[in-house]
Amino acid sequence: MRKILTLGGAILMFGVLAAAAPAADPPVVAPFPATTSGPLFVAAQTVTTTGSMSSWFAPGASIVFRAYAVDVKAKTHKVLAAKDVKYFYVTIPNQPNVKLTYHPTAPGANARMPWVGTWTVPATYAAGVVNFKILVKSQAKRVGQFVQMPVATSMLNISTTAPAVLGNGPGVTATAAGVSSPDIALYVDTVNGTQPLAAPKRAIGCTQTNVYKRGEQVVIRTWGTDLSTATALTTDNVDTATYTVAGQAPVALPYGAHGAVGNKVMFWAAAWNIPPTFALGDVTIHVAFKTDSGKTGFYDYTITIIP
Amino acid sequence: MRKLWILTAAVLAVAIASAASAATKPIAFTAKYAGTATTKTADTAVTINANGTGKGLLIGAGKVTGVGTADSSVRPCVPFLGTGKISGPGGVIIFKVKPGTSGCGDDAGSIFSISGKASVLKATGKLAKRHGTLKMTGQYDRDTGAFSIKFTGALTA
Repeated sequence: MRKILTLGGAILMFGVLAAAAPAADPPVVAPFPATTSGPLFVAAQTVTTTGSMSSWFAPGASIVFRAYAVDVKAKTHKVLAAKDVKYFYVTIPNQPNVKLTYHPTAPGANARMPWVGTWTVPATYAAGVVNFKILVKSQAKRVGQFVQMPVATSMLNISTTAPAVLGNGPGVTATAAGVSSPDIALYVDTVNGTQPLAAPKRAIGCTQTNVYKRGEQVVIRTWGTDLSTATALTTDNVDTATYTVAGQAPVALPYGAHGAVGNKVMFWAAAWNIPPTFALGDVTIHVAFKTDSGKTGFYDYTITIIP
Repeated sequence: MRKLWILTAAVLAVAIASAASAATKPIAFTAKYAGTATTKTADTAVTINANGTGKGLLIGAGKVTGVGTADSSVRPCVPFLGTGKISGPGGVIIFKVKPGTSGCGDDAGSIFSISGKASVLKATGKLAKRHGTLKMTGQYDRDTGAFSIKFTGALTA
């Protein structure tokens, strides 16, 4: 009798589990960084002390990590300032942690990314991708983590043959132009496109940079979170996603898979070929999202164009 | 007696109004399917044939089928059009993919992110006479043929 009950229970349990299973879940690729956000949203970049973005550095170089974080759980979705943070640091394999401090005017920092810390790469540090993480905990005991999108050449790499940055980063005043929406938090960066129409290809494609020569190809990459639902911005909840170069019409940002086979993730990206006669200096790329529920958010991202 | 007639008429009017409101009130519809799609390419013209199983609200467990064409000369987002049918014990929805719908491919052209809209041409069963536009999102793996698709939107009478 006991065996019959056990068997009956098992069948019932199987039935419940089978009923609870999703009808038919798809192949494939997950949104970056995850389908749902943690309690703290974190975005970060690696730059030189002039604010010139790069993902490739040589041993001995100084890398500035700059970041911002948003409290997803707080009603106001506030950007974390110095008083809000218990700790904010970079963890680097085989290295001491790099503490980030709130200092918007520090070399490499800006109003958008006011948390900064510098790591000087040891001369003997192993070449290759540096799988760093940035960890933050708020005074409200909420935590967040940042990792880079898994596209190898756009991740932090150490190499004795690292290509030098093309120049100083954009002016700080220009970079400070954008104000994040309280509804949407965004990460934006740019990498060099591998198919420039009017300039030679760079030695390594898809490296992070915000300094371009005329004729080169800019690839705008972005991901973000709907803060009210703590869900990733995907085609499921986004009505429109665009980038706009100052003085030009908005261009749709496609949502697609990127990265190596077996490690692909979904994010928003689009290429812009800089005309050979485009004005030199800083130019703002306005990245804007509108969700199906009507929420909007934008990020004004600045690049510098040189001859 | 007159008061009774007025009261009865008022009650009847409220009942008719609420019945009409219920009939015209938009119904939120969601459905998810996964299956296999085959594509045949001639130059840059691609013909698509898709079959999947899943579940839809009110429609119940069932299937989706679709046929269409795509223009692979447009990259990275390949536009496609076509018609399809969602069916289950609760009814059938016939839909037409709207212009602007596309699949955005990765660098290798293997994984496509599907995004667009479909017009409901005809619905039967529990959604009889309902019309509207459904958002379509999903993914397609060209190497394996596997696809997933989600429909969301409101259908009105």
